[in-house]
Amino acid sequence: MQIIWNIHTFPPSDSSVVSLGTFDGVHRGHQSILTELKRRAERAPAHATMITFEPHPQLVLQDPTRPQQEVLTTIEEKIEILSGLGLDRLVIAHFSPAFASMVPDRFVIDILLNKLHMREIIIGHDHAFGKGRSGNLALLQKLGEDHGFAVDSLPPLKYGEEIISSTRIRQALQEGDLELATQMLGRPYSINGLVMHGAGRGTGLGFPTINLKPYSQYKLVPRPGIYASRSRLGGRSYDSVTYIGQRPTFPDGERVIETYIIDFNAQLYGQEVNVELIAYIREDARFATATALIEQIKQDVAKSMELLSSH
Amino acid sequence: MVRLVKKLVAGGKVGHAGTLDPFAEGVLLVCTGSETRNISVLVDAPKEYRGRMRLGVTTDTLDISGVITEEKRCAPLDREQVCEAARRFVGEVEQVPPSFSAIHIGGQRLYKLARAGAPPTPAARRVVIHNLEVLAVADNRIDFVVSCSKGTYIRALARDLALVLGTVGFLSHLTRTRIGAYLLQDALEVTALPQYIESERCR
Repeated sequence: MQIIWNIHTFPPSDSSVVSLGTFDGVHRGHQSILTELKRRAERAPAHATMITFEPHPQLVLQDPTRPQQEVLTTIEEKIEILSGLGLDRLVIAHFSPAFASMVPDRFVIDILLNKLHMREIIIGHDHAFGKGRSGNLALLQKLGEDHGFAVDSLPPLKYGEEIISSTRIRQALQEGDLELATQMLGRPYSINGLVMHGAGRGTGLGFPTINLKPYSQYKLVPRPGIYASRSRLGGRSYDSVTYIGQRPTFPDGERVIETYIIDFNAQLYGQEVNVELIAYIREDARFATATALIEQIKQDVAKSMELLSSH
Repeated sequence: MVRLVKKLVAGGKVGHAGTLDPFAEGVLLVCTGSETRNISVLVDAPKEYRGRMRLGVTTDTLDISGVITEEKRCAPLDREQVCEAARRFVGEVEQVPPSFSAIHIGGQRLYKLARAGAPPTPAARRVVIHNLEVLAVADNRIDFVVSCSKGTYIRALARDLALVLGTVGFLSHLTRTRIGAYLLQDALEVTALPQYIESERCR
């Protein structure tokens, strides 16, 4: 998959079939659009091209008085997931207030037609872009007639009775409904980050943990508690137990992610680790004595290993 | 490194031109024998680095090896805004070295004082940044290439660039790609040194 960071310096290419969207989380609904994109690109034949926005538009346009918007996937994570889906090209459109106020016709003509020679576009059921979100299905269809490209909008995908959406997944993760989030994502929710020096509390208890810092401050950190997890590092995957908690000393409620990798002993400072959350075990709790805490951690480890062997 | 080379060449003078932080990688010049005469010239040579900094978090050492000391949410980064901020650092600038650095204050290495927990603030120094190019901006990360005069601390540059962007930051990766005319692509891996020295000796 070719990654295009700056579409303005990209030379006009051969024809393409395009899909457009923020695709936060790249959930099963997004995946179905991309599968369709690939199928139609092969049929054309043309380049299967995905256009995404970075930063997440809601981060840029956010009303500062509302609670901080968070994202399911950082751009680095999104690139990694999309790389596995067999697309030809990924265009990362830098999202700024100026970009947001662009009239959709200009975007379609300058970028999609002149740069990518779009022959067909597939969008999600609720997608809209450009100034005042006026770049919707109706407008695309009108432009399609004028400029000769096909437009299609795919219906939403459901899980049970519910429409799969990034918003619903964020909510599920905040509520600790990891099962629903996993089902809607089509894979475990995961956090990529760097291992940094933390408080090192776990080491004294006999359970050394890594302190994971996500790549983006806007990365959604799920509900506090204990999770059975898998940690990927250096191309291998290890069973682990992850603690997500609120750091009391930081005023804006920054969360800490501490992972105990079972039967693993090595210095990991500065390394990149990916932690997949597999199952929610229990709430965060306070313990009267260190002995009680150690006893509880032992149970958490045993429970995690049991859950991980069946997942 | 100097100790390793000294052992390998068995005797004679050995010296290096310019330290490299423990978390960093890249070109380190080690001079042996009569070449040690050139050290004073080589240490003055301009240097080039490729680095990656992360915003919103900082550590006591201003690099990945340190302990987190502050977290501060920053606005989503705009590439143009980052380039604009970077331009302010090009030319002759005043730079306050990091508390964890090898400079001497009152006859003591500053990092030793910092480890003891009472680092004095070092005086600002005049350094020259010849070029600072922003390669990529994604999430809270900035990748850059910088060429600068001797005595420039890239960790301090990262700290100051983050400040201009309204947040805090630290350096997560650093590679020295050049010292004067010596390029990274011509450098030897440390592991290849023993064999290299052996083959030079046999000539």
